[in-house]
Amino acid sequence: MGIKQYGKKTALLFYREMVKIRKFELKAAELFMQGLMAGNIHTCAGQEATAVGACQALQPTDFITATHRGHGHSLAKGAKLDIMMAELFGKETGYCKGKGGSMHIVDIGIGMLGANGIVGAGIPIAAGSALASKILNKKEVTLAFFGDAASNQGTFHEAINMASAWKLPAIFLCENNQYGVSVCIDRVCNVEHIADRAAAYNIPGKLVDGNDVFAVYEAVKEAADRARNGEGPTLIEAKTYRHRGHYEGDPQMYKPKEEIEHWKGKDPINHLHAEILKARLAKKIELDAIDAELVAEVEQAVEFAKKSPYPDVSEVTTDVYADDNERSVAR
Amino acid sequence: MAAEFTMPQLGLTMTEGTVIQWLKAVGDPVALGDTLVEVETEKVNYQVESTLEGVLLEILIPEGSIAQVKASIAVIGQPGELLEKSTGKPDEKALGKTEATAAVSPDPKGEAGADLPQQAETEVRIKASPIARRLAREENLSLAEIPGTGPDGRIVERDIKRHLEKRKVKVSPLAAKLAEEYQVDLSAMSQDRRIMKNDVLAQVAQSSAQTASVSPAAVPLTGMRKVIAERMSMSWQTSPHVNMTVEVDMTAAMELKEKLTQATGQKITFTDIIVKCAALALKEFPVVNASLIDGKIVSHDQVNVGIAVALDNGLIVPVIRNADHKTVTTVRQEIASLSSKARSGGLSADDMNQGTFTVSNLGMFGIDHFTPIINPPQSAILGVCRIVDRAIVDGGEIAVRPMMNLCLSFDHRLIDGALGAQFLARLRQLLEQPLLLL
Amino acid sequence: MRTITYGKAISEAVHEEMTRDESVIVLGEDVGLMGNVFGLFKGFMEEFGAHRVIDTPISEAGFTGMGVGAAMRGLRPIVELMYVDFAPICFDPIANQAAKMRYMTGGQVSVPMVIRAPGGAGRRNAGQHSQSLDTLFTHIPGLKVMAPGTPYDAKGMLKTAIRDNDPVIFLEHKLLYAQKGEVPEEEYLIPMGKADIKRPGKDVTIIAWSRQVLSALEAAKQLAQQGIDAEVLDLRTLVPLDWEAIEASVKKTHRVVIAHEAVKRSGYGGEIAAQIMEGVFDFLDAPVKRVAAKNVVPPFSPPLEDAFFPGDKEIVAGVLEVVR
Repeated sequence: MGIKQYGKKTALLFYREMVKIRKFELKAAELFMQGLMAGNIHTCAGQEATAVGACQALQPTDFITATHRGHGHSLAKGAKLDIMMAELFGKETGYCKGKGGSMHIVDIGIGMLGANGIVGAGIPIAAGSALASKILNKKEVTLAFFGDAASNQGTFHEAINMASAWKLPAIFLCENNQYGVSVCIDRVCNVEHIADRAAAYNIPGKLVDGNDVFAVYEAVKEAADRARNGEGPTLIEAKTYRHRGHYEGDPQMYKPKEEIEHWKGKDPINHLHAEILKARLAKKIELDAIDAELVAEVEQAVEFAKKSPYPDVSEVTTDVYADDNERSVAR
Repeated sequence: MAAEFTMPQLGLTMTEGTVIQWLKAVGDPVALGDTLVEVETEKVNYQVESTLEGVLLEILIPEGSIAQVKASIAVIGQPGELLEKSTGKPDEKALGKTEATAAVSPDPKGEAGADLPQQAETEVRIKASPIARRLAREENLSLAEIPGTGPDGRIVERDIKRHLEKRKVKVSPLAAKLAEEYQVDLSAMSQDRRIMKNDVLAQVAQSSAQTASVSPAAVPLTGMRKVIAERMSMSWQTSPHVNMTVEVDMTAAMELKEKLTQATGQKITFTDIIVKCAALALKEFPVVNASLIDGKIVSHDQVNVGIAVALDNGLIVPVIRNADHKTVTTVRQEIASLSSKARSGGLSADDMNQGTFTVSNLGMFGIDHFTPIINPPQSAILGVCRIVDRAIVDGGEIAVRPMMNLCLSFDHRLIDGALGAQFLARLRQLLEQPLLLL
Repeated sequence: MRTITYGKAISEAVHEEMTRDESVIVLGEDVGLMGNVFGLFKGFMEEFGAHRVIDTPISEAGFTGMGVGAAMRGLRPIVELMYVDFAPICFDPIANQAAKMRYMTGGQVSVPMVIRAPGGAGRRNAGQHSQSLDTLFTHIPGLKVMAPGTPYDAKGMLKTAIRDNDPVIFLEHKLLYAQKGEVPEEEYLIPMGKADIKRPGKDVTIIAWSRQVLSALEAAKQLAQQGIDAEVLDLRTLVPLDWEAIEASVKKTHRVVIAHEAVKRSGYGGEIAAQIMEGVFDFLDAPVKRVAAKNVVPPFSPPLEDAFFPGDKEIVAGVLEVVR
């Protein structure tokens, strides 16, 4: 479908969502470099189209699981900038009271079942969520985001196998950014397209340009309909690229410089920016305004995070158990 | 304030004692009557009870060393206390060390951990289970005193409990031993304070009076009876007894008795006078006052005359100390007091210790002659018979005089016949001529 | 009161809970059509439907992870591992996902799933099918761990585990499935974290769980003949630990022997012994003695396997040591 059919509203919405992620990630990277964030963060600058396209294709009541590189997915699903930023800062106003951090952002209210620090761990969880939908006779589908490297993890195969065998309402979306940390996928995988693995499970496998937000949108929409109709899961592979290192501070020595430049040239935001202008759906000044708004919103989020208090030390021993927490922690 | 525990005088002629074994360790709590140290004097070993209470702060005389009687051998007080006086090296040492050892007081928290290595020199780690240690701490017991029956000699709970059971009767270890020996029922004794050695001995005297009325067919020897049996056997078998008798004209003595009675208001008896005369005679014949112990002749400075007092089922011999220095009146008072105590079971060990000669009066039974058995470790005993009017020859004429036989038994190992005779003769002389007493 | 087997008790517990609460589902290998390799769920699939009694492929990591996802969505999955020895295959979803989800989300989600797995030696199942892996689970905060030793306990405890809102590792013992015991007809629950004095005594406390409870009771009989009155304290739940029960017992007897079938090194007995030392040191009359399996791989050959794991004889010997 062409951009004109999507219309201005949708196009600007997609644009806004992607820029939101980009601004957030770059700001987070900047603050991390300044030493204001503890631990590690894994930014997804360059992969926004996949997250936004996919989440926009889902209902607000649908569920997703994400990866360690989950800021984009969370924001695309509807997470708030300030609460996310606060979580990254480890403050008590964060999504997880500061107890989870970057890799464990969860907001059940928006259907975000969680970023995950274990590669591939979110895939069975998503399948489980899909199983629950089926058992409970509910219409919610669950989409698992995972990377090319995760598609080599046992859990990927086990989960897809079960989801396909039982026709669970799941969508398996592989963001192939071609690297698992430092290892290029073609060095450890005998198939060129992860989407081809679908054949092994007798489900549709769709290959899309991960940097084309509309392409992703359409693929996920189709998969969601299939799932909701009880036709089972789909494996979608979105080819994309991360501009920055695996983690913030990673010098990316394993990537050829030309490659990075090549993919920066295919920046999804720039691409949509150009498309919108080309289709005259909006003026540059409007797009700039969106940019500026988001910069300001991100700034506000940072202020909020900075001003927020750390959780009280007593929170160390809370939330381990739902029932009988104190006694179950004490000994 | 901390105090010095000194080497006690454990025998009349003791001048020094050897510390055989300290039964408490530095830092151990010490209660009154706790056996503190084993001391050897002249081949006899004594378990010395503590007369001080508190914590053993310092041992001044180590095991194997000799200390003079009355010399300081230990310091006992509360942790952290120092001695008031300083009389030279031992006390300075005591002062210096007390600070260090104070830190090693029985503080269960063990905050003095840093000081413990010092203590290790004098102490071997005692194995005890946690509960045993706690109970010992709570009950103020010294683990060193308690035998361990757990693995590897570990002191375990049952060992503490056993110890506490024994102690429930609140008995000093020595008293407990004596009670066993004399078969005294400790639970029958007054529990208002810890039972000490003296209490047991007194009970011995009393209980023998109580058991006399019960006489089934075959009664085993117990208590005082048993002791007397053993002692008399031993005395008879060990000392070759010589028995010597003189007749004494008691005319002058009778006069003296009446006059003194009038003058003092005390009921003076013949025994009182005999004791006084015997005491003076003993002073003149010190060998008769001496003892033969382990082949050694032990002379005694004091003349302590014992008076045999008959009880229902035995006899007991309270002692008049330094009888030679005492007036007849004083002797009367003491004999009265001692006899009364003897009959009521109130005699203490001190009342009965350290006698050097014994007087046994059976005159009230109308006895004319008998052979008393020497009271070891004494060397002689004087039997006193009845005073009876007899016809005697005085200046060629027959006269009627109150006559009394004195029967002396003495140990021929120490006292030859001649000496014994001389002594007896002198005694008669003093009795017949009381003015010689002056 | 009627007598049923431990296996039947487990079966009844699951059946009752599945009847009572539609969100309870069972997943595992051979649980549906076959009704579980020990026959525990015979007829369940027919009764509750294939969507609630799910035969999984041999994908422990996959279906345990799915259990986590389903639980986060509000179901109460009972995930069955055929042998606790398979836990290492799916240790990530257990330890990193299920156990941590609540904490890492700041309390947003619960994972009310039960992972049931039989363990234990004595069936000559050899190295990879005879272990007791208690400590793998007790060491992970966020998990609760239960290990029943009798049919009565098994039923009441499993019902509680299913209703509990936290991930519960339910450690069954394969040799106990056929053990009979009295179980009431009426419904009852056994609270989480509550130990049980199976035999009161005053001379020594034998702390045990799972099959060692039976060994301990047998040992207690023999000890009684020697005049030693042993108290057998069945922990029942390992996490949360019923410290009050342990404390009271140790204060009474002053001597402890801990008996478990897991290997001695790093076994849960060491944890309990440390807690006893920390908590009631001044009541101990002897060191805490552990009776456990030897630090070896479970052997196959019958005499070797029998020498590997403890029984009543070893417990008796252990008690005799601590009462010296």
